[in-house]
Amino acid sequence: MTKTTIECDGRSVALDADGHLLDPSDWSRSLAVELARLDGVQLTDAHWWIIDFVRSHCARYGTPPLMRVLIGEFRTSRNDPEMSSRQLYQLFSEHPIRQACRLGGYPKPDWCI
Amino acid sequence: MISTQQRPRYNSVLMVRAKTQLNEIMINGTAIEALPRPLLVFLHSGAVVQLASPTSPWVKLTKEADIDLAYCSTAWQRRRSGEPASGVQRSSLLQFWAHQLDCWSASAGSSIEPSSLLIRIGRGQDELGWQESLEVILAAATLEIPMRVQFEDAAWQSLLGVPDQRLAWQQLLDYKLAGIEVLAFDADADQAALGVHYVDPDATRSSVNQAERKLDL
Repeated sequence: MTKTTIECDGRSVALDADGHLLDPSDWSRSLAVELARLDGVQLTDAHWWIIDFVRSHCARYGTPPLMRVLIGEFRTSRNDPEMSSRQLYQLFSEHPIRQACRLGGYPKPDWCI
Repeated sequence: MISTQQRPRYNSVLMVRAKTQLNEIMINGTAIEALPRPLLVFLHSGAVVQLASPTSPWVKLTKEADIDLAYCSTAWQRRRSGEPASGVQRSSLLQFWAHQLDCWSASAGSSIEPSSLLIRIGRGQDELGWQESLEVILAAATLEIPMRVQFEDAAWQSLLGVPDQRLAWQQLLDYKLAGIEVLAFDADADQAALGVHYVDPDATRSSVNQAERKLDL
C-alpha cells in the first residue's frame, strides 16, 4: 500500500493510498478541515452535519450509512426537505458517503454499495 | 455468454453464496442448466472462490448459450488476489438486484416492481457470512425494495452470538429499511423492544403469500 502523510497541528499523519487515515484515532476536526482543503472543499455546516452523521453511524453500526438513510436523516434533522442525492454530490463530488468517511477519519468502505 | 451491448434481460436470476458442487444445486427440483434462459448466475460470499480455476464446472457455464456468470467483486477481493478465470463478469450486489428486479417485473407481465420481498435466513453463519448477508439486504434497501427478513430461530441465535454483527443489523430496524421477524414460540423481550417481531413458526409456515418474492440467504 502506498502511504502518504499530511501535516496538521504540527504533526505528521499517515494516510493510505486512497487518502484515508491509517489510524482513525489520528482524526480531529482540524485534520478534516485540512483534508477537505486539499480536496478543494470549504466545509460548511451541511458538510459537518454529514461528516458527523457518518462518523456516528460507523461508530454505532460498524458500517457507513446508505445514502438514502443519510438523505432522510438530513431532511428530518435539518428540516430541509429539498436535500437530495444531487445536492449531496454538490457537497461531496467524489462520492458523498466515501468522501465523508475519508474526511471523517474512517477507512474506505470495502463494499460495493 | 450472452452477447449484447445493452443491459441484458434475464428470464432467470440465481444467487449462489456457498461453495457447492454445481450439480448439487436444484431450484424447485430443476438443475441450474435447465432453468429458463437467458440465465444469470451470480456468485457471492464464499461461492466466489469457485471461479479461480478455468476448469471449474462453474466457470464452464460461461460456455453455455444464454448463460452469464457474474461475481461480487467485493466478495472476491476479500478472499483472493488477482482475477478470477476469464469469461466471468465482474459485478456487484446492486447490479444483481437490478437484474433480479428486471426479471421479476418481466415475469409479472408488467413493469412494476414486486410488492414485497421476503428474505429467509435458515441457518447460522460466521461473522463474515453475517456481514455479507447484511450487505445483500442493504443493497436491496438502496434500491428501495420493500422487504422483511425472516430468521429461523437457530439462525437468529447465531446472529445474537456475534454482537457486533447484531448491532450492524439493527440499522435495518432503526431506519426502517427492512422488518426483522423471528420464527420462535417464545419472544425475547429485549430484542422485541429493539423492533424484532416474533412470529408463530407453525402459523407462518402454513400461510404462504404467493405474491411475495423470496430469497434464501
